[in-house]
Amino acid sequence: MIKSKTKKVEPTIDEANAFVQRHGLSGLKPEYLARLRELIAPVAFYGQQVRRSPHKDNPLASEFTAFKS
Amino acid sequence: MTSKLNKNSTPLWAITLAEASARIAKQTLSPSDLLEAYLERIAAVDDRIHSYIHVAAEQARIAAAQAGKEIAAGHWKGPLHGLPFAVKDNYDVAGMPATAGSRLRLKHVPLQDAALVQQLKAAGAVLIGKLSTWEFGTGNGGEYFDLPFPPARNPWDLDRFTGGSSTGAGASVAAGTTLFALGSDTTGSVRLPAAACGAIGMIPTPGRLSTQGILPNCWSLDIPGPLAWTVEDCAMILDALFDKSNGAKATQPSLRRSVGQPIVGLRIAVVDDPGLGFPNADPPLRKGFEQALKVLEQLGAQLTRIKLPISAAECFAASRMIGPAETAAIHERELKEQAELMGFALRDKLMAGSLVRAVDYLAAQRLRRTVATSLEALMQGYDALVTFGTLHMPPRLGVEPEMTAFTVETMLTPFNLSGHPAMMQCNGFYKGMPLNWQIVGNRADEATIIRVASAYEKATTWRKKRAQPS
Repeated sequence: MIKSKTKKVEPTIDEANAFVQRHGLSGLKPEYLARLRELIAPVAFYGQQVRRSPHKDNPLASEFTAFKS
Repeated sequence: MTSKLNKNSTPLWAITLAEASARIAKQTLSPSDLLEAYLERIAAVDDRIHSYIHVAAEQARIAAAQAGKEIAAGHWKGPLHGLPFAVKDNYDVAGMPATAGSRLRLKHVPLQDAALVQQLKAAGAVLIGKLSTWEFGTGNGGEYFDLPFPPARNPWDLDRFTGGSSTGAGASVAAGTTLFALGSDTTGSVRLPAAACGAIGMIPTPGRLSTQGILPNCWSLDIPGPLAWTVEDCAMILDALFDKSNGAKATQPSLRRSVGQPIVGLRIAVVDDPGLGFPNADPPLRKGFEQALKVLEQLGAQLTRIKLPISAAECFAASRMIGPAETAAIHERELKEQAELMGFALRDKLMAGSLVRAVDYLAAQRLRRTVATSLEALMQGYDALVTFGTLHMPPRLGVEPEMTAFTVETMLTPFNLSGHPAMMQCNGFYKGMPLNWQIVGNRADEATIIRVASAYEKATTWRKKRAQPS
């Protein structure tokens, strides 16, 4: 795991509201918006937990479909 | 209603697929009698375990009668002819509701069969109905009792979790409400219910089985797989599906021929340490694992203890980016327009997936390549690998932290990321609940998994015990 230098900053409801407005999710009910706000910090944290490749030329995983005709 | 019994007074719902197949081929058992035994079993226990969303009894009766006529006329189609099966409700079946366990799809009736359903019907198998699933075949690891159908319950203990997302598939095979089932797996959805319910659940090498007509959950990782009671049964199902799935050019060697082959001298890697980030397995699972290793040693396998190159917890961290992001991309419209119709788990996953940064998703896909190449290199030194399946015993249904831990803290994700075939097998019982372990093969070598698992199964007595939901 990489040592994360990010900080776990709790998002405000305004931040969550701005996100849903920007991404076409403004139809979410207020209680769903509140839940989305709760999810922002952990999703960012989990994203930083993913080990980064040390080599810039390492590509993505391929699709393992060896048996497709 | 009296249950139909076989010659040894074993109820017909409890005989193996192999036995049912042999008796139907010899015409000492009719497809209709076998089907009626399953319909009776469903009537007797399914109101307790909720393994089915939809039972198509009359359609199944017509198909079974047709199979009986064909066989009587000398037109036996093969080992699955006349055998009943069921599919997870994220599979399309023409003219049958495909709700995927969701309010959003209650009126969705596909016009075409999923490719695997089509193959099984062509092989003469008889579809009983559609099985319970987490909504859209996905979720966050828990059950929230907020879907249009009741959650499936574990037939070994109705207060316990079946594991998901192929909840009904695990429950139905264990309880004998179907002879075999098809589920789908992204990070464990075939193997978790198999583990919790004591069944065999297997994911083959990706690409072996078509995903056409199965509601997608994650393009990168989705893989269909069968659930059955014995290893031989599993091999027979895959034999029927491998041959033609995805337009395979070459006929695959029969997996059933690997059943009963000796394992003397097989090199088997043993991973008994989950590695950093996950707890050790629960004591009963550790004990069951060590006892199972002894059986393999007694059968002549050469065991070598190793560690995974990248821990299961790190693999799960990658899947936690890939899975939700792809699910959110697949079902973006539903989240934007119909979020209020969803259950908590699906909505939560779609919202989380919407928040995943592209940079983190791509880092996860790059890590997936590293997992795949490092596991491939490791596996080339061995014929198979054995490790834990779940790290926890089947938890209490409705106790969210226990269910989530059961789903998340597993040894399953590495093999989804790497594209290796893997089987979940029951390796004992503790206080009436099944234990489990996982057998992993080299890519395209499902045969060795079948060989190891069948040797273990033959040397133990676990398959003689059946669940009696009460």
